[in-house]
Amino acid sequence: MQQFFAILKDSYREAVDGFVIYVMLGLALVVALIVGSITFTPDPAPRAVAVIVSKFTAVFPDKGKSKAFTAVAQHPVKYSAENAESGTDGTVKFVLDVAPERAAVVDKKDGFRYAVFTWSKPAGEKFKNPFGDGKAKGGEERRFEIVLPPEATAADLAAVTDDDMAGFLKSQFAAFVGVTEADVSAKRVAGVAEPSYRFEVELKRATTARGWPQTLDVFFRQVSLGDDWELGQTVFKIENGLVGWIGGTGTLVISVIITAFFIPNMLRKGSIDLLISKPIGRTQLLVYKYIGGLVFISIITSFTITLVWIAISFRAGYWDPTFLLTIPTLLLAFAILYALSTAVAVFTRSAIASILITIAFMFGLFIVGQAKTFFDVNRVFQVAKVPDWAYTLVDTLHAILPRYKDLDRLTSKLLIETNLPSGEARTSGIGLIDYPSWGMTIGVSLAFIVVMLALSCWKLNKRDN
Amino acid sequence: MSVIETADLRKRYGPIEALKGVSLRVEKGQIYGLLGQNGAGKTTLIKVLLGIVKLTDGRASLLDAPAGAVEVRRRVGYLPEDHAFPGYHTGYSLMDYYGALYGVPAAERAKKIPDTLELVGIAGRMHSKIKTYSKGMKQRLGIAQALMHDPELIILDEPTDGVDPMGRKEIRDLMGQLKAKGHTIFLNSHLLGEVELICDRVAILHKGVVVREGTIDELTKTKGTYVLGLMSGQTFPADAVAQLGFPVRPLPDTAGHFEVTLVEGKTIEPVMKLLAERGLTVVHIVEKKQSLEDVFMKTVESAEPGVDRKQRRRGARPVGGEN
Repeated sequence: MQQFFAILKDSYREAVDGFVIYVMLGLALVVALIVGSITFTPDPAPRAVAVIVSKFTAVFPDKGKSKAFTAVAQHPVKYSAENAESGTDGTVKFVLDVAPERAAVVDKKDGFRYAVFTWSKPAGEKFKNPFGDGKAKGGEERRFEIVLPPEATAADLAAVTDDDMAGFLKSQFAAFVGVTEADVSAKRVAGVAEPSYRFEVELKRATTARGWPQTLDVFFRQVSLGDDWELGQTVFKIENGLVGWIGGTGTLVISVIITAFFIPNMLRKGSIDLLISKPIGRTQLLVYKYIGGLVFISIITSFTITLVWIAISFRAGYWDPTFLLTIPTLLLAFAILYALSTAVAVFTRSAIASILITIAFMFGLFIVGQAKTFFDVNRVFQVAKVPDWAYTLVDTLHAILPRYKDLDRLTSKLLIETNLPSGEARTSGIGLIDYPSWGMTIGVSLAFIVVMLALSCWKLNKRDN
Repeated sequence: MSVIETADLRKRYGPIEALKGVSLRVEKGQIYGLLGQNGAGKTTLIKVLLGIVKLTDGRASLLDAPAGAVEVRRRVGYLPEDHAFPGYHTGYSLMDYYGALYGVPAAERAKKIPDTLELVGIAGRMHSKIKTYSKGMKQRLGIAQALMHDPELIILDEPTDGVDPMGRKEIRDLMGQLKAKGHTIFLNSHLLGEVELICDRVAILHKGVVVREGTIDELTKTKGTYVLGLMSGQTFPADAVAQLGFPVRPLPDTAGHFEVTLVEGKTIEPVMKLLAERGLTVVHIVEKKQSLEDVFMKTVESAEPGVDRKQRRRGARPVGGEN
């Protein structure tokens, strides 16, 4: 272990010798500062409730338990709560008026009763490939399901009780505000002629909940970005942007550049002889150096992500540690690239070759990932005519290459599930399409890393240095 | 116990045979010098011993273990020629890094590093970045890193390269001290005078073959050649000396001096007796000596230059270092 730590320390010294590391740390601080300068101010209750109830066209069957939603827009309903008031403890009280938006477009059904009926019944028929010809094309069948609106007779609608209506509203508010059903109370007020309805609604802890719209300011209230920014959705966008875009591309490219010099410097004439003459095997030497690069980047990544997490949690008012899980995810993405960079360095001894080939590979993985996503969607929707061999090619490349893009998708899914209220998350579609599995994504990626390192070690052991 | 032993050692880089059956034996406590032109195979031999390059054929052992074995390298210190230390290290941190790779415990490193750097004369700059060191300082640091773990065998490839004359003497003295402590030193150097001063045994490697090997005395031993000079006005009896069976020749650019070479089994005594009988007074008599440089030059002067790196690259991958 002494040798292992010596090489880790050496990698650290090498990395901090240049200015790039300080630029990266400086950028991390700047990003954290910008994020920390964001201010969320809850929107006034009438406006916020109007935004929330506008989403009620999406209904979750099975009394809100269904992962898929049913759109009930064919029977439009207007919800209004202009009298909404919020207390200092975040509790919001209002009278909710429900009325037909306009004449029902289909068979003049009572839109509100129909929505409650849909909510109260088990998820209806799941319809695969609803927009195509009923068959997935181009190889394996992919899942894309929606729940069809149920058929409802006049008797069915008449059977909807006041409790069902209250339950429906509690479920909907909980799903879209991001509070528990216990935090919501809804009671029908008598005296309003159907098909209009009136309810007294109370939402506890609402204004600090993740679905509550906020007014967003940046640079310590110097710049206003307007209202209607839902808290969780905004946090998700910031986190996903940092990890998926700045983190996934910018930081990884810089990390690849910094670490691309580690192995060629070690293999330099006059340097490698000194190391090989020490009592350490070549495989050990290379693997330790590889791990040294990973540890170094993990320190920077952890520093940046943790700093941003602290800043955004402090500003958003909720401390969900799931964002910290992006540290190992980003590190795995870097490990994939660094394994290739190491292999190129051992074969060419050139840092420039390592950088160029690794970045080209990164771009290639992105393209394959994008193509795979598009082809999977195209299997269902058939928006473009694609020959079968193209599906086979993309599927094969995707199967054997590390799952760089999949890591990005899975990370986004994780952040959606974490930050968005359950209703928002479900309507974003994450429950409708197949996501790659973490096991397969990590497994294939690790296998690629092992193959790259094995090739590198073989080459280093084989050559006369 | 032999510290280094090779038998019919061969190394081939593609079409180039860098070592053609080298057999050597270095005993414990010796300072052993390896001489040769560029491309003679000196560095290749060292690299084979350390496992930096793999031998093609033959046998090589180091401290009774197969050459290149990982564990045996713990007992060897090595200064390569053309070493390149990472510039981001200080002298101290580099020693700490290499010491850790050698398995020296941290507490021991903390004590030994300043001591060793003091020994090679750069302790005052040990916390400066290596990129600020002169070539001579880097060379001294290289020697220090080869010594700090107290190895049984120290292999030095051109240790005085880039070092000033004072520094060279200090390094020679240091090698003497190490020898006195029982260390074995395997020295590869172009500086023949230096090798002659400190080595117990020397091998001359030429085009991958050991062409001479022995102690300094054995190598510099002449057949017995004397330079004689008589009193002014006297004539040297060259014919008479030749009739005694001794090859004799006048030395140009001297005041009537003659060179007399002894023949097998004879001393200079018959010549001196002849001169005395003729009443001649010898005012100058010197036994002519041969330097190691003479031996080296005679050994290799008629040979073609060795294989240089560029030629070898065409046939194989680069190996680094002069050979």
